[in-house]
Amino acid sequence: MIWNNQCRKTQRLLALATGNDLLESETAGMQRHLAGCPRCRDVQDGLQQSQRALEGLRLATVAEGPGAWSVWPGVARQIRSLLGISAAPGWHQWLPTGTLAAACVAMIAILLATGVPSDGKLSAGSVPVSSRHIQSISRNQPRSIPGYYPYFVQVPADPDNYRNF
Amino acid sequence: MSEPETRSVEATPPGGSASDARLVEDVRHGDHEAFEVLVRRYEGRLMSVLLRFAQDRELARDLAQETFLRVFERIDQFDPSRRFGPWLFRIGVNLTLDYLRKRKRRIWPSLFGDSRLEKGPDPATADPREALDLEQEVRKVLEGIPEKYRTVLILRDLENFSSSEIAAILHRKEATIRWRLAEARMRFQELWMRRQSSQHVPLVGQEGQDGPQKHQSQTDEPDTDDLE
Repeated sequence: MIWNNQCRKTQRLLALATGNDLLESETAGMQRHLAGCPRCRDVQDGLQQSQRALEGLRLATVAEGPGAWSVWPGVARQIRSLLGISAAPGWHQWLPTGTLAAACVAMIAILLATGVPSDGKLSAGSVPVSSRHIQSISRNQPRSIPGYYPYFVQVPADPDNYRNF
Repeated sequence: MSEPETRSVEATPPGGSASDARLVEDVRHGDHEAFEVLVRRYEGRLMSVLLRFAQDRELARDLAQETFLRVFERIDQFDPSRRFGPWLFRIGVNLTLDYLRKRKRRIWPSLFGDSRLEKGPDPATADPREALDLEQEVRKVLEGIPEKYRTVLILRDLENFSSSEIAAILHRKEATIRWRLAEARMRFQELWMRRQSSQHVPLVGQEGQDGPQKHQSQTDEPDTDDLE
């Protein structure tokens, strides 16, 4: 069992040694074991063979080279598009904001066109009220002002009804 | 034993002698030319590494481009007290391995519904119908090694990164990398020898399957990464 463990340990060191990855401190013990173990010497031969095969693949691909090209143009294009989105948004990105603004302008225009009496007195019609007030006014057959519902009260036909407020 | 031969993770600088740290700082302040210098400095090395994994030039190029884009997007997350190279390669290698895993999951079930075929051919047994050259043979054997060992083997033996650089790239302890490297070479050697002998022995595949399995059972990696 001790022999097996020693072999296993040595073979691991041999694997590191074939690629010059062994530390100085690890060499002596390995050499001692190798001197008396033919099985580990066989493993060493095998490791050296397979390492040569790997080396062959490395050299073949190094000779081939990565190619005369640069990824920079592609990377630069992607970066520009990445930054372009946040720096200068296209017209379609303004669409929701534009729509909202247009709607607000349209609403203001309607209010101005229909909601303001010719004498400019808005005081009665522009008072915000609760639903209780609206109900009490409805009972008194109010005259409605288009464009103010539900935010502005309907003005009672009879000025006496202002007492209900 | 001599000092291990390595290619540094730090690329030779095209674009002047400005340090990576300085260039990263400039990129953070909106200097895109500094990023171009970084890209041109590292693209050859990155492409070479990704090509080892992807084995397809166009794919490696796309992955390299995506890697640089991610680096640009995450440049604020980079810790300037560390080296830029390993950080870049970590993003590139992870991106590539993720892509290859997803592609493998997508392709295998659809092409080979038969569960008997899902394992693929035994890498230790040469198919006599295939006339593969040496490079193809080596690649085929490499594919038979589990990903975590193969990755270390490729980075060390094919790309010549030092074990400390591989540790930084894969975000593992150096002891773990050395363990995996030894394991990877032993597995490669075993599969390689079996494949080579199966090409010369007339009765292919009669050597038995106990080789790698026995080896596998003997070598359980210590769970050192859990300590990180």
